Amino acid sequence: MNKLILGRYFPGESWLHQIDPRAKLVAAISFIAILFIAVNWQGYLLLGLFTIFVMRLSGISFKMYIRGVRPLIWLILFTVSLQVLFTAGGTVYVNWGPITISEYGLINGVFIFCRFVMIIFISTVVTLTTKPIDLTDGINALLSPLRLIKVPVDDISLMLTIALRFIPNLLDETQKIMDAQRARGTTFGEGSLVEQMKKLAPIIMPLFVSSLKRAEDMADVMEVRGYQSSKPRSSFRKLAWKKRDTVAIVTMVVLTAVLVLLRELGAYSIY
Amino acid sequence: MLVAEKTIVEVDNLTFRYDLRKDDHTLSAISISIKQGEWVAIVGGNGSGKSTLVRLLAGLLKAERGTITIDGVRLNDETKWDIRKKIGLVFQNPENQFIGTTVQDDIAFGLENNNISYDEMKQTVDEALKLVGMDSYRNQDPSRLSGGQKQRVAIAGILAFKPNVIMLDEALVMLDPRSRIQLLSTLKKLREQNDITIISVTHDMNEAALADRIIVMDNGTIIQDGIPEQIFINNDQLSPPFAEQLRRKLAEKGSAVPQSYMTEDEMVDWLCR
Ligand SMILES: Nc1ncnc2c1ncn2[C@@H]1O[C@H](COP(=O)(O)OP(=O)(O)OP(=O)(O)O)[C@@H](O)[C@H]1O
Ligand SMILES: [Mg+2]
Repeated sequence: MNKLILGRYFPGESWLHQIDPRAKLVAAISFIAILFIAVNWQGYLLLGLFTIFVMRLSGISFKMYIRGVRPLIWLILFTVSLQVLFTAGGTVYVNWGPITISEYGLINGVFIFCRFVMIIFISTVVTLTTKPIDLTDGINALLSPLRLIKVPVDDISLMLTIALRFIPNLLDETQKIMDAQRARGTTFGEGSLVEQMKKLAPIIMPLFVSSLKRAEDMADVMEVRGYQSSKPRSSFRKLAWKKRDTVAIVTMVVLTAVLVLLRELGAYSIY
Repeated sequence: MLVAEKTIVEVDNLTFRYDLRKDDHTLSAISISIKQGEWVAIVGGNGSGKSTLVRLLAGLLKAERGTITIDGVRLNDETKWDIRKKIGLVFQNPENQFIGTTVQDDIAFGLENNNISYDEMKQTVDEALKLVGMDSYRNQDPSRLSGGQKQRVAIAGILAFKPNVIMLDEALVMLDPRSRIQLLSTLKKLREQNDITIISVTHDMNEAALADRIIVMDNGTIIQDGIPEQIFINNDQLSPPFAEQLRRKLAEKGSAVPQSYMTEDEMVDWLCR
């Protein structure tokens, strides 16, 4: 369970850590969007360098990021192979009926691979450098225009907050239940797949029951402390926009402009 | 202790059961009347219905029969939100009491729900943190605190809210003796300053002895209701507070101690006379 990097927070004091979650989210989303502007190797090189720069800025070792990609590697390879096998154009290297490996297919495959890895790296940068609660606040702020069309934005972010609060408890609890089962002679990670699945049942059931109980208790606490979803609430956590946040956004604008330029310059000499 | 004459909590003929298919009631025909500013301790064995009573008072459970009136307002589905602005409840189990991801966020939760402005919240949260001595833990994750620290944060959350009635369901059990004494005297001071009513469920007879009044529950009914000295003289099942135990031992040994219940201070005065 400790192997999962994606979605984890890594405490630190780096420049990136101190950026407002709203700025970080906007920057990350726009980065993912402008990935699709790049159509030539110059564009990809620029984005790649930028990604490496941002990863350096976070002050977290590259090993961490690689570990973040690892669980997704099969998904990436699968998508890349589809891309390679079903794109036609340019010199054809191999041809088996509908399946061809062509020059364009290969190049496309490489680009898709890079795109995937960069998306994962950048999202990992965001989650590693932002406290979950700040992320929730950021999402809340960015979604707030949806209030106008009656989307319950505050409820959604409170739900996220509580879900985030539950995760460490849930992990602790799983550990506790597994220990309890171990004390009764169960060994985990041995035997056939079916056997291992069978051993999970006595963990999942108590976990389920205790989560329900916890949710019930929590609902009681919220009620007694006056939480009503229909009522306006004030907020104790405040986000403050600082100069470095503007710097981050301006950087993204400049990056986009350069990419567009590269695209225009080399548009017809693709590949 | 001088107690104002206004009744703040009025429970009349309250009857409740969790399982409607069964005949035995968790609470049967409970009637209590509590004055504003009073400190009431509720004691009784495990499963006697203390937590259930407190939950009913907070509007978390619905009575089968009988009524609850708080500050002149009858508790029902329409009024429960207004009534909850006047009451604070600290639950028995400190584990699942936290909504916020940090101690200070959690303390602010009740204030946020009432749409209190940021500046006011900030001040109130600071005060509450200081009152329970958790000032230096404000940015910690509450689920990673020790049991006693959790209880202190839960209490701070209620204090910040400034309710008229504070209900504590064994909310001090995990505190070390010094913190407990400190917190009890804080509560006492607050009560004197703001005329707060305190209803405290406890198994600690020394704590109960500090109350103005003790209610003894057994099997869903009130079997005794009176000032500490009456309760401890007339009840063999409760183990009395230390001073009273000492008095009885002294009496057994033939010492000329007074025949009636004595508080700790009275005992000290008598011993040093
Ligand atoms: N959620 C519930 N569903 C069904 N029965 C319950 C529930 N909660 C409590 N009870 C039952 O109601 C009775 C009174 O429980 P309650 O929790 O009020 O006791 P208590 O006086 O607070 O005890 P303790 O001193 O152990 O806290 C017990 O017999 C208990 O088993
Ligand atoms: Mg109880």
